[in-house]
Amino acid sequence: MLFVRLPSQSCVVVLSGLLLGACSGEITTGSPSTGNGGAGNGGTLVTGGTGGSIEVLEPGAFSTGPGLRRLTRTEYAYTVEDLLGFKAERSTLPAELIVQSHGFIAGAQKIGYEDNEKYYTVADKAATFAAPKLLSTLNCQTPACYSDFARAFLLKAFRAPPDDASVAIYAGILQDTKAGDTVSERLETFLTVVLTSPHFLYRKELGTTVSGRSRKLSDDEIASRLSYLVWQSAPDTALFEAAASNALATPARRLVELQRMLKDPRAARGLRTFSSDWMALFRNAIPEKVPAVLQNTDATFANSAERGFELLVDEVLTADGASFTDLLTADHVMGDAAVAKVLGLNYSGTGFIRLPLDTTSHRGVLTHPMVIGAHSKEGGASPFPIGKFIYENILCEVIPPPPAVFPNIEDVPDGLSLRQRLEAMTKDAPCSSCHTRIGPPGFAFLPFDPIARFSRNDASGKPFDTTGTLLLPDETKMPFDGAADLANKLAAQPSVQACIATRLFRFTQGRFESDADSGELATITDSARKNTSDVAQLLTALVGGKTFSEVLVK
Amino acid sequence: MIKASRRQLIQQMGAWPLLWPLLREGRAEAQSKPKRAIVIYSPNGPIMDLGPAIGTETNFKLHEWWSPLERHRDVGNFFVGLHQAGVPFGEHNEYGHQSGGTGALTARTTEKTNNSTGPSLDQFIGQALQKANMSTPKRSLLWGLHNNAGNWGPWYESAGKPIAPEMDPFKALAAIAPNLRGDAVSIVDKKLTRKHFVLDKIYKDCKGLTSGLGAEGKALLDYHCNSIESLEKSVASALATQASQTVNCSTPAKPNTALTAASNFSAADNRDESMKAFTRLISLVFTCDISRVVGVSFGDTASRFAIPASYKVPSADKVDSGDSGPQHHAWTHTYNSGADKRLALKTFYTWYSEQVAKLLDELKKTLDADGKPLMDSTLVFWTSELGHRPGNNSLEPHPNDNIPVMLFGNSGGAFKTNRMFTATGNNEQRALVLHQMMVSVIQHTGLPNINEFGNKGTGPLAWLRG
Repeated sequence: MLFVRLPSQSCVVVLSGLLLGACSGEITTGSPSTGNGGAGNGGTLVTGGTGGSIEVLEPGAFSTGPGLRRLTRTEYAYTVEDLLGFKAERSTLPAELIVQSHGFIAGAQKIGYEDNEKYYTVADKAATFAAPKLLSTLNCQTPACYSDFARAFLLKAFRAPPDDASVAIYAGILQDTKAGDTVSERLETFLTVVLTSPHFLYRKELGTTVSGRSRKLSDDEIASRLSYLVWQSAPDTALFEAAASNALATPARRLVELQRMLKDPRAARGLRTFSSDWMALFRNAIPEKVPAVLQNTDATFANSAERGFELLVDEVLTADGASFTDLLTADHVMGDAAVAKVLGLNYSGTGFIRLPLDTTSHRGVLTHPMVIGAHSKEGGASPFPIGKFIYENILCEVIPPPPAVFPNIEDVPDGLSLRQRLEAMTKDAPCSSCHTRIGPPGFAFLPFDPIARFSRNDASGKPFDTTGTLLLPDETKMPFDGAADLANKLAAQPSVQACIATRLFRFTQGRFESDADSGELATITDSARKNTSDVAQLLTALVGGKTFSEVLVK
Repeated sequence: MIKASRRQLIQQMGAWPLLWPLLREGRAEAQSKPKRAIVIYSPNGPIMDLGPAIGTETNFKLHEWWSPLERHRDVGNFFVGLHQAGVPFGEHNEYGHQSGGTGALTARTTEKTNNSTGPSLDQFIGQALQKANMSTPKRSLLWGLHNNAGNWGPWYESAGKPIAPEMDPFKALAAIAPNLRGDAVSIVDKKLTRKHFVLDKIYKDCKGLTSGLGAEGKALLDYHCNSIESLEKSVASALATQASQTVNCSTPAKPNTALTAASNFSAADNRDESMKAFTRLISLVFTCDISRVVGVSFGDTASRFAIPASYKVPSADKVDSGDSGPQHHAWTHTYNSGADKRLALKTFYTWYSEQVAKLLDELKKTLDADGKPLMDSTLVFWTSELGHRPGNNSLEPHPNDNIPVMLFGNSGGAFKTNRMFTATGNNEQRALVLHQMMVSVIQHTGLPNINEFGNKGTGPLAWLRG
């Protein structure tokens, strides 16, 4: 394992975060496992959710299912909410390790010492909240009654029928004076154990039948895969019953359940979570901006932007016939007065409404404050990080990390615009291999400040040059003029639709794809291309596919 | 050192532990979480000034006479303008000491009778706990620094049955010594104990999950299991460390005082040392669950109470009651509003406040057998029989009105604190607050169904909770 330290000398003195894109290496298309390039010309880029050191792992990592999928913060919070009515604050839960802009790669999600502390603290609060409410249902006088209670509760919590030994252990907690002097205290302890148990923290995807490297998931495991894909939470009773009748191995039955689940309001959770991950929104970066950037914004702006993003996803993706690419082309945002103020829109009322955008400059989520905020520095322009984000998250290409030592860069003549200076500084090898790609789409965003305020002219009063040509994965060239035009054209690109399908496949499987998935993945990506990333069609292709009921092991 | 649960600490309970599983849930709950009360009485009142606080409910400062309690604002509620509970609601100049003294802690009408018609708050609680099968080796304890042998005293076991506080800390210790088990008992932090229990269970769950996992999954799970084990060991270590912080229920060789058994415990100069000893004895009986209610008396009403000479209380001339010298009572009878009187009363109240503050220090720093500060489970109620009549500082007012009352403790989080309550309305309405406060103290000790104390059925003081 290698550790790459960010450079602090040379051209970085001038460019700093501007160069947090890439400077060397080969650009590859596809997953880290199938690509030839990567860090040190071969590897997987892994960063922490809030920055930090860059870790380089071996190629091929995380392309198989480890058999256990740690609940993400979102999944944990929704599962506890649905189980006990307790709303856990996501920021208090252990953060996911972000693997190349993916927050759900199961093989990378270790649970360490501090994570256990966090889980315990949240579980303790949830148990304190829920025990008094559950106490009336625990009116037991006999051991058998306690066993019945434990069995019913564990089925929901552990998302599979518990075996007799587990029932005995957990029923024992409810009767053990070491767990508390009173029934109420013992119930609190019982709930805390449940919510911190590995049986709760992991979704099990062990599979049962060996077939090459593929193992067939059990019906309970399929039920969980489906419910966490769509609802980000545990299966409901109907899904448990379908699992109990061994029906979920059949694609047709899965699709029946999918259609039912998509009609449930909880379906918005899955779409929001996937969309946030697609846009690499692992945290709200707006509050981190420098005071000069946040000047003249309302105190609620950061939260408003986040809420507005969620509402936009809800509104766009739950519409009939919606496509994921509609998020890229939306001609409006959902915003309140705080959002409107930053985006220069005319609205000072209360609450969130649909706010039409000036589509000559803005389009969809790529020009949204949350997305630009997540991929910009705290202050100043950030064309390369934004360009890198577009290549990695919209086109599914792998951009290797910058070199350990930056090359010396000759003096750049005075009198150039920012874009001209950056282009001059990155025009030669080794920078050029990446920057000729990530530069143009990044420059399209020069008119946006780090919270998506727009201005057509730079500080000198000259219009920003936002024209460029995007080099697509198949090496064809896509000219554009400005971020809105870029977003529109990206949405129509088959490679973008294929990327969405690929990311959704990874989201479902909790891993990167491998060569063994190529046939199935081709079917899904073809569907995406044919149906322009239609949400329902894509989910149908995914859930109805063979790999949905399988786990690929090493 | 013996490791024991809090339950095992209960002294002289005979077959209690064996009967435990058979107890009804409510009783077990009450037994498992001791709630304590300290009832403090100081005589003769502030007379010249209105206290103990000035301001509004949340924006107030303590009157300088009560300034030593500033460090305990966080756990305090300070009441201004209360009228004596129980006494007839009107003027009580002539009989202020009598009616106030016998009614201050009994909340009963006793004017001119020199006797109460019911028990004082401390005795009532002890008796009620006993009736509810929550008694401790000592139903209640009453200690003090001075008494008039029951003459208009505030402490009553029952109607017409006054009782006097024990003034000798050595005798007080001897009385509880048979109930001390003679060794040190480990503190049991219930929250940490539960955390350890949970981690132990989930570690076993973790180890039991490996079946069916491949190498990748096993590596993830091993990391998780090891991290749980590491945390479990850390918690176990913390528990062990806490266990070494024992509740010492062995019998001390002597009370915490420089005095000896031969000392004169009536001497004013010994009162700092006596109070220091009683303060430690209170924490001892609470941590070892020998009693859950203690009365502390600074003296009976009209008593010739004085504090050590080192505090330099001015000396009063002989007054109509026959008193003279540096005594609190004598100064309440002087017909003037001079600087000497103010200094004397200030010095007394500052001294009382300092003694109460030190007691609160002790309650905050001492952990009970559940590993929590005694303050978390204790209410400290401090009242007097006399208060202040505005505009009448120069004569000899003995009003059972505008009594400075304080209640320290949040009853395990049930009460809001750091607040000031200003009573309004007529005498009866302002007395009602005191009645209600006493009911709140009673209910806090584990007697939620008692809504009446003294000569009024009032229910608790809702303001404390909201």
